[in-house]
Amino acid sequence: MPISGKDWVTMTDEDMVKLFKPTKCMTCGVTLHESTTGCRVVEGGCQCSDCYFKDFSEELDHHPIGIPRMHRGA
Amino acid sequence: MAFRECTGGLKHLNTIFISDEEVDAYLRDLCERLEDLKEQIPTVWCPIGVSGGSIQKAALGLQEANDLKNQVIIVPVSCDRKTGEISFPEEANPSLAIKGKRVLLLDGSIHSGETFRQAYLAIEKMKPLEISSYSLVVRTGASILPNYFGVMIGDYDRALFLKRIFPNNRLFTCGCVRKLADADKARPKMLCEREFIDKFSWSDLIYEIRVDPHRQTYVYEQGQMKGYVSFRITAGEEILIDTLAVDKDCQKQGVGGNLIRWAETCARNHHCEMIYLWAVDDRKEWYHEKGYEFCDEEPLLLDDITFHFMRKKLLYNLPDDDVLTMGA
Repeated sequence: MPISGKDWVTMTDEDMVKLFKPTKCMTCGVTLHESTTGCRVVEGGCQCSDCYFKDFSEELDHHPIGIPRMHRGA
Repeated sequence: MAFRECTGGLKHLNTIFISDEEVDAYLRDLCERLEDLKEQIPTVWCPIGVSGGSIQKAALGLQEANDLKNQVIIVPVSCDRKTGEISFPEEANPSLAIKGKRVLLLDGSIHSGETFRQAYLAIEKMKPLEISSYSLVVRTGASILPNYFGVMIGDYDRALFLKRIFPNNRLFTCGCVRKLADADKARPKMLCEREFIDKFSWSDLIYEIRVDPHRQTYVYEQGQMKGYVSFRITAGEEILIDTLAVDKDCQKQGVGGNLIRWAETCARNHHCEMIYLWAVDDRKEWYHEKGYEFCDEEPLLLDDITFHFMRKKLLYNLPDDDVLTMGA
């Protein structure tokens, strides 16, 4: 049965989350929203920006970005 | 209200704060316009996700919507962000409610427009009499425009509304990030154990900034130099991250992630479209999993290491398509 407009007005935030089942961060489970948490599509799902860059921290600890290039006096 | 975020001499991002009173005013206008349609009022409302549901709740909660509230039925629409698949969570057979009816498709904000477009197409298949559409906020780069909307914002801007709290930018939990300065020549060099990176002294990096106006180098300092990022940035075009290194004794402190996040933030402030980097051969898949794609350039073999040129769209939620405007 479709929901009536009158019933919709009584919906709580929790009701809406239950109804729409919004996409959550695959790492921390936060509900994703572009303008607040970020919503980055990665292999296997979506991540919030915080978790996305945490993964970069672990990666860059061991694998810096860099390419051999000329430097001063070389 | 729109505020320009202070970004230390960089270009600006606009953050648009829409108060609850302003949201109500926009929705009051929408309700009045819908009432003006008289017998052509859309009687089936389809909110997209929590954002659409919240806007719809605010609209139907207005005193001006007392009549509307009793006339409309709701057919919620969901979208799987990963697959883009549209579903109707409350309806086993939504076409029964939609066929031959006037429909209003609603969302809180349209970023890329892709979800909105897919929802529109899914509803259109159910042969409604007519589809009208509304979004409180629309980005200029969206691939689809609704019939009614409240605010249009730039692709690099963000709009915040109907929130209990507004999020702060999150860059650094501790320590200090600053531009590399002349005085740093005397500081002890940090080492990341990658030979061709470690051979660069602070003086070399300072020289590079001097001779290349597009280059910026930021260091992460907390008692000592813990890491740095050096990149070339051209406004309105692209950012190339040349080097990002973390001191071998400062791992597990989130330094690298914070520095690359700052590089992305700088690039967005400069309205760059793409971020580029050279990925070492055995790490290319990792970057691919994080949304980077391979460029057309041949891989480079340097000092017995193969590097792949990779890129990622900075505005990851905007499409390249032309704008499609909905018919009323």
